[in-house]
Amino acid sequence: MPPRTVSGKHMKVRADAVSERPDVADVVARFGDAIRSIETDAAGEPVVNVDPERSFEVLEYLRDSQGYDMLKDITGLDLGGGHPLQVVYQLWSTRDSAPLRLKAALPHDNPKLESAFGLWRASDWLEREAYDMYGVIFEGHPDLRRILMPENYEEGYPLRKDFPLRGRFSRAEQTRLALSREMEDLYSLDELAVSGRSGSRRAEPDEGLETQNMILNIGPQHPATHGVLRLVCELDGETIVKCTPHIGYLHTGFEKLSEYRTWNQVIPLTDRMDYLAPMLYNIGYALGVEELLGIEITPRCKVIRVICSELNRVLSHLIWVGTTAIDIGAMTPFLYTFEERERIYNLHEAYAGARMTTSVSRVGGMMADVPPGWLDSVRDFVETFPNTLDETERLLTQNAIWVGRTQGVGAIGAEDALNVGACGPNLRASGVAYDVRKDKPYLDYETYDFDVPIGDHGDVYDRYLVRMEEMRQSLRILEQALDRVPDGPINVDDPRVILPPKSQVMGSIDGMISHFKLVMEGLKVPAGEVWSSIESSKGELGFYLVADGGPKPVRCRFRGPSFMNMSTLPCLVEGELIADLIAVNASIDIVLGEIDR
Amino acid sequence: MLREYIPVLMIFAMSLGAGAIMVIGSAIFSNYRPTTVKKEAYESGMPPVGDARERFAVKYYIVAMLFLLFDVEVVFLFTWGAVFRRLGLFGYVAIMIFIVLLIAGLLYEWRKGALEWD
Amino acid sequence: MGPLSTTAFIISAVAKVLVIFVGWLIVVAGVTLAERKIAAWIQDRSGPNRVGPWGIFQPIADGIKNFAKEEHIPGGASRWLFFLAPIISMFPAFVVIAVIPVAAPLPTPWGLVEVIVADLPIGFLFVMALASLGVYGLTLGGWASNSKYSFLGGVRASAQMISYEVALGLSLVPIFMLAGNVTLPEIVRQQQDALWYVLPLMVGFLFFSVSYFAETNRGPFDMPEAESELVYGFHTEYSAMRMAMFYLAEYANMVTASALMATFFFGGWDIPFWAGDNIGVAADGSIIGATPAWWVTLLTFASFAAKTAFFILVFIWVRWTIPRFRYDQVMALGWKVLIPLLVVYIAVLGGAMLALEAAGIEFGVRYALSLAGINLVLLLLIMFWLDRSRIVLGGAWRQARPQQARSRG
Repeated sequence: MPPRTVSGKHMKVRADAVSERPDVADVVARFGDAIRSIETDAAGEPVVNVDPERSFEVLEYLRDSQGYDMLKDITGLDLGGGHPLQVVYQLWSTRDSAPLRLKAALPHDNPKLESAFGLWRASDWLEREAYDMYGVIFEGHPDLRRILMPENYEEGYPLRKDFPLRGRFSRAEQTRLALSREMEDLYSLDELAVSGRSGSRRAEPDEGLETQNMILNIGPQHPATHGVLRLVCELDGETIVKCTPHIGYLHTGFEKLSEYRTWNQVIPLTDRMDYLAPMLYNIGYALGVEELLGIEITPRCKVIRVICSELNRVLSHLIWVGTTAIDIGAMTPFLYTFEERERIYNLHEAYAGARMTTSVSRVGGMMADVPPGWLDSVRDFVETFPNTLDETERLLTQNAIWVGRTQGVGAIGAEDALNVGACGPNLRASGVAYDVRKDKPYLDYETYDFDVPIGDHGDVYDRYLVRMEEMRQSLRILEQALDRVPDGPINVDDPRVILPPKSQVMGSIDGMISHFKLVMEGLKVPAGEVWSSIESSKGELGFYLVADGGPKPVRCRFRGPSFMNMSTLPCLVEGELIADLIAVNASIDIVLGEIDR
Repeated sequence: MLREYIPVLMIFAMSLGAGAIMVIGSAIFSNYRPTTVKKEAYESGMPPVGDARERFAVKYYIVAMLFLLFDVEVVFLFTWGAVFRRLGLFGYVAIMIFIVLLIAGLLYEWRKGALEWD
Repeated sequence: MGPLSTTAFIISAVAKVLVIFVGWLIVVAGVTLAERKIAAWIQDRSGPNRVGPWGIFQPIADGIKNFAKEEHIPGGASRWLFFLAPIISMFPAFVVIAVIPVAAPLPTPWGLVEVIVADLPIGFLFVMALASLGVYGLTLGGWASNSKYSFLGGVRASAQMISYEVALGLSLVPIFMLAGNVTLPEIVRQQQDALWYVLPLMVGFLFFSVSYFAETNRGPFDMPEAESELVYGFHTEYSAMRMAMFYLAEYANMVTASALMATFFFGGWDIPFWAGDNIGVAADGSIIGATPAWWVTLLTFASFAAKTAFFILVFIWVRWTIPRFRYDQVMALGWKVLIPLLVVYIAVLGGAMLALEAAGIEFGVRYALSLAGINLVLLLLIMFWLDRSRIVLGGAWRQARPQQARSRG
């Protein structure tokens, strides 16, 4: 199947409307010809096309003078068909609660751009991913290596449009390469030097009395890495000199796969990313596509989605508490929380038929209305769950060992947390009150009464407290949502996106045609792009979706919170002990399915 | 009474015998089929780099040396404790001087940072 | 009844060694099951329940499985040390029982038989000496494996166990001081005469139990294993029966520790408030106090078993309730808290005992109660004045704020 290309302009140019925003106008005035054009996306957010030569300057100015202190995403974009390669920066100003997207167009051959590493450490992994997937070379990046693909990957840049879905090499060749990895492909040169395989850092055994640092692999097959994460640690005794996460062991190419599926077919991919909070991902994606389509979902659907979201937030935080407790040595809370998780999984099963891979949402609604009695079961859960929460807190919150193991461990301040790209509860534990549900409300979250818990110290203990409190706040939201579930249809009444009822399909020619077209081709999304995000249990989950009017996405970018949080780990654990590394790694709440995508 | 040591020797023999039986029995009943990968040291599924027996951080050895000092102290205290009530005040004062000296040593180590781990 | 003849002594010794050793093995096997069952109760699970009623044959099934599993030796391992390590670690754990009196003396036609494998005059030192041997098995096992996780576990084990050995030894000194004796049967009798030592040596008991928890590498002190950090620590590379032997050693140590706690601080086989078991043997072999009888021996054994079982329960209970310390915290607790405090405690206790003697109070209930009062004061001081976290946890402690949520928007 040849890669599809986009022809023509895919975005509305409404420069006049956007330049009313003072910050955008200011940038235009200041940088003049460095700004090539200003557009708006489907959601009305400004998109500034900037000269790649001067993108760093613009970013610096935006960060320092316009309050865009949060770098949410850096990703590549290849529209194919002769369009240049683009690098997309998604910024957020915590001061004004405003988004801004920057784009820099680059040639396909030897695309080069100045690295934003000096501005945001968060750009470390994001740029590595853009390099890995699109071959964009970020000059000045300290460690520009492949990140998701293996080090000895030679097939090219997978997310470019000219890259075939199954790769360039034959299956046999791919297997041969995978099995013939040398030490140099598995470890960085620095690590090899420390361990004495090459280089000169190691003191010869007979010289002097120096001790040697040890290179220790923690993961991928390790009880405390929560999946197939590999942390290569340089140890001095038990003190961590340097910790390098190696990811990609679970890389599935969801972003590439999405480009070969219809909009609704992407939904099953989303819950396989974060299998610990699947419904949040289903819903987040559906919201993004709906924003692109410009349709308003029904009131009942909104409330049901809120219920599903908050249930999954609890679900995900529960496993967080349990596994973190295990990693810190307390096994019992794990089983208490798992019992509650089973109850939520039963609710999943009753609604979606699946316990983990729910695929519960559809563009324009849900897969079905909730089964009768389901809401009562949820209410029952909401009423009884606090008992377990209290019991777990009694085991941990005031326990001297727990406190000693978590307080002051892996601490990071508010400014640094923003800079390194922490998000979600980790960011809030550091004292930054950023929650998408409050700052950029979706699903009518602004009409619910709930608090956003915030920590002061940004250590493991505060992350724990924040998540415990978030569960209680989720229960508050659930109570309110259960009280207001309106009657009415769950799906929008729009033949473009939702299958017509069977009676119409059988009874009318219109119904039959729209059914046929939706099934055979899939729903069509008008050309445009949107960067939509929700507050997932682990942080801000962003979907950067680009459509060309066809039945399949041109670009599906999943900006996962775990990926961002994971990239902060090396900053958090330097100089701590192995035990702290395990505690911090657990505390940032990662799910490898989404990191590796 | 030296004959009290006979049962001790017997239980020594039984413990060692039990251990040997377990090791040997297990070696007989199990079948070991080594492969190259199986014989690799476990390091979370990665081929290990570097040696496990290299010049390791010195902190642990400092603890071992401290232990030698204080274990000797404990041995002194054992003998003193057993006759404490017979020795009375004289023994008490004598051992206190000894203890104060050792505690001073411990405090010195503490201040010097020998008990810190990072 | 005089002392046993040599023949009778040998026969009784063989019988005692056999009965106590085999009984011990059964108890250790039972404890492995008990741990899993109790952990299951704590965690709302069923635990083993497939092999026999309530899973009581689970240890046997485990044993068969472990014998039949593949035994693995890593490539770079030092073969002999690798073989030896499990035996070395199991040996001391099984030998210490030799000096623990498990019941009141048993009258037989040939004389009074002490229900103890060996009534050594150096009973106490025997316990200490063997307990410190256990560390070799762990360290060697970790080193011989030639794996980094094992190595780290091994060095952790050696540093931790030798540190706590000092504390363990120091926490026993008060017992020497009070008992003026180092044999365990004598300590039991002293407690019958006065009070269980847990009262006059409350602080000592606290420190002893903490040190022994650390010495057994269990509960919050399982640094050498620390499965979330070091995978399985020193026995990462072990498999099949050799791995099971490390576990057996751990459980045997736990039972020993429980038995020692019962003996040192809870009167051993003594049944409280009952003079019928106050059987003493004078130097010439004549019996002082109550008359020995077989049923008294049984009753006292039951008392000893109940106390030991209780402490085993505490061991299991603690392990499944609280999180694990960090390694530096364990070392800080040993060197910065237990050792200095124990030395001070010994000094205070010595002074108090001298004062009591100067005041003319005879060794007995009043003496013990006075010491208990002093201990209570010390205990409260330690608990409240010496902040429970300032030293160990590096001053990090801050109270959780009950309401840390800030409303926004």
